[in-house]
Amino acid sequence: MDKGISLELPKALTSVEEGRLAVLAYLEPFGVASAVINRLEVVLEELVSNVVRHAQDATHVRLSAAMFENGVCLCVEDDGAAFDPLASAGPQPFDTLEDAHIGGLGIPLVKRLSRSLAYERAGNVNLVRAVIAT
Amino acid sequence: MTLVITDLSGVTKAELSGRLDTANVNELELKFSAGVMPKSQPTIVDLTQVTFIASLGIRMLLTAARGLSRRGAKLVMFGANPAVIEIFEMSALSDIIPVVPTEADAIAAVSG
Repeated sequence: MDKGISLELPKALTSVEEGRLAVLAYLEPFGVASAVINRLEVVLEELVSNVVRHAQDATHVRLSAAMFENGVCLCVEDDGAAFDPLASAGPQPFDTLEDAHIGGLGIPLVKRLSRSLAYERAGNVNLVRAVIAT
Repeated sequence: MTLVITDLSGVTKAELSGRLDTANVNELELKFSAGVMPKSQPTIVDLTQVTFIASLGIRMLLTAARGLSRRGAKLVMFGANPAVIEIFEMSALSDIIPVVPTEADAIAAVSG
């Protein structure tokens, strides 16, 4: 496995774009398919913006990415209060516009886009690790 | 990220371009809603120049489609690239808001 990249970003919405560009630059030499890049960008967007918008007491977010043989591992950490974003049931399936849940669409999307997804409370940080298949 | 709203004799056309990510949707959402909702008429959304969408972008489209539906008007999207379509399908958005290939298809779909 490649040793990957890791960067510490402020808890600010601009960190999503900064993190995305850094991950793209890191992955560039690997020639990852554009469909995979798109899935990865959505997962990164949802996980990082989730921390920025919701993590109580967090001061920063750490984003790491590493290329595997058949996947990209994306790790998002924050130093906020213990919170497992994956534990929520998420919106129920919907068939009509009236039934559709307007909020909380992000995590269900991350679950579907990731081959594996796990949360861990490690010391004083929340850590979400997603693997996107290549 | 830009938004252009035009009126095609009774059909509102909203042309989005750029990345519908969290930061951009935060900036654009009110303008989008103010541009399409008060007209309460059939609306087509041009996604030809949209390169990326995440959950807040989906929420914006869903909110507009629901608001228009309550006023008896349809919203149909067209021109989405394969990356955007995949995210629509994974979020089940494409089950409840039609996504068609071309502007002509979209006009036919909202008028029907």
